[in-house]
Amino acid sequence: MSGEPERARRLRSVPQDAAGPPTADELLCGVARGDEAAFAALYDVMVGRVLGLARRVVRDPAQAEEVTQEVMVEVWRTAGRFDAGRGSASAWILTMAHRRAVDRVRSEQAHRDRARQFAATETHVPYDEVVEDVAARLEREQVRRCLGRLTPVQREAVTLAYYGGHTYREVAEKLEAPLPTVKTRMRDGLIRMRDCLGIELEGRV
Amino acid sequence: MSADIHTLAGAYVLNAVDDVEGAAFERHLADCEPCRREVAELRETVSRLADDAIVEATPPGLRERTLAQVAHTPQLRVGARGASDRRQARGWRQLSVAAAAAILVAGGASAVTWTVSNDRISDEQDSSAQARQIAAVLDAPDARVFERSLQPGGAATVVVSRDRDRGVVLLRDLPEAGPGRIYELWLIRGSEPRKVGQLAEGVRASTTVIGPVAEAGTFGVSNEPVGGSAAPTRVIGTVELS
Repeated sequence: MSGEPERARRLRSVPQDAAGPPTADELLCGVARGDEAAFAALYDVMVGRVLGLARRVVRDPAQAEEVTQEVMVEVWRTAGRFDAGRGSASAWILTMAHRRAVDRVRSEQAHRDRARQFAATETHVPYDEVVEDVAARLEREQVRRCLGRLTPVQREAVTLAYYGGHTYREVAEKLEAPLPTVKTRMRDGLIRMRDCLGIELEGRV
Repeated sequence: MSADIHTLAGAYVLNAVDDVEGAAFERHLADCEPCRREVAELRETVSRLADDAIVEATPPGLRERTLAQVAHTPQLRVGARGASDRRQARGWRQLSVAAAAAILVAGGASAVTWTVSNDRISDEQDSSAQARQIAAVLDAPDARVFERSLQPGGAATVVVSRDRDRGVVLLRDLPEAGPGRIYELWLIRGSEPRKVGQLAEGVRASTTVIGPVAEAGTFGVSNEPVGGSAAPTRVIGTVELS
């Protein structure tokens, strides 16, 4: 695993190359000190993933934009709470983004909107199509490769929850699997992905 | 450590648990160092899934709107805190999950009935008396949620169970009370205020169990000199409990 520089770059706040562009971790430290220029740079680094994730989960582009703006303002507001010892800046931000997006999806209004949307277009998307759609878009080589190493049930459980914004109860219903099984598959799947991606928080540089 | 709750780690980092389970899992995390590390690593892992969702072209105006809002948004000050404060902060984060759920359910309405099934996590209940009292209010079938922004800042969420005759007040992001000043909490029946709690000097967020609430119509927060006042003198916000 020591031969994976990508991991080191993601999880370390120390820059690998002093001349390189500042990392999200460094920028977030600047943001915590009230540096608006650092915030603008951090926005540029993160917005593609925050917005993309929000779109994937909430589906509605306008709502995804709202979520993105809310999340980035929240990053600015609470940057002082970020603890580099507990993970990377990008994971911190994307965790916040996912939570916001999921909250949006689960709110009653969003359910109504989505129901209305489905009714209007008279489409019903079965879960396996959602999963296929998600799988088809997994362009990032490493993520795709590692997701590909999960068992089908692990992969479905993880992607339905993450991209679909479903609770594990909903996932269990969709997969017609017992709750404990789904819980276990989610954890086992993520552990397998973690090992495949070589993620180790207190690892060696 | 309970093996059963621990299997929630995956669902937890995927935000696939409900708020009550999330709060229970966070209580578990507080006492389980290896679990915190596992959660941190799994969080890094799921964040990588966002790599795939990346969009190259972002809509025009979003950057400008965000930067403009940031220019007018004060940052949360995170000072050096002692262990007891940290503990309090942790408790706050845990409870804010429940509060967020409450607010979410309340939506635009002023109040709703909030019901939640808590039996699955009964063995994970925090043993402290206050946590039990809070859970009793939040879990009451007749629990109602009221939320209000305060002037000149911060927000109050009050969950009231008339059956239990108790309420839970969540205060967050209150402005500095000022030197020699504190916040006091009141329940008001008619025009008669009754003091139901106060925050220590310098404390700007709290979770407080209040009661009895049966007759109270209004909850209030006021800014008072240290030592407290017999009646509220500088009210910064009220929440109608009906």
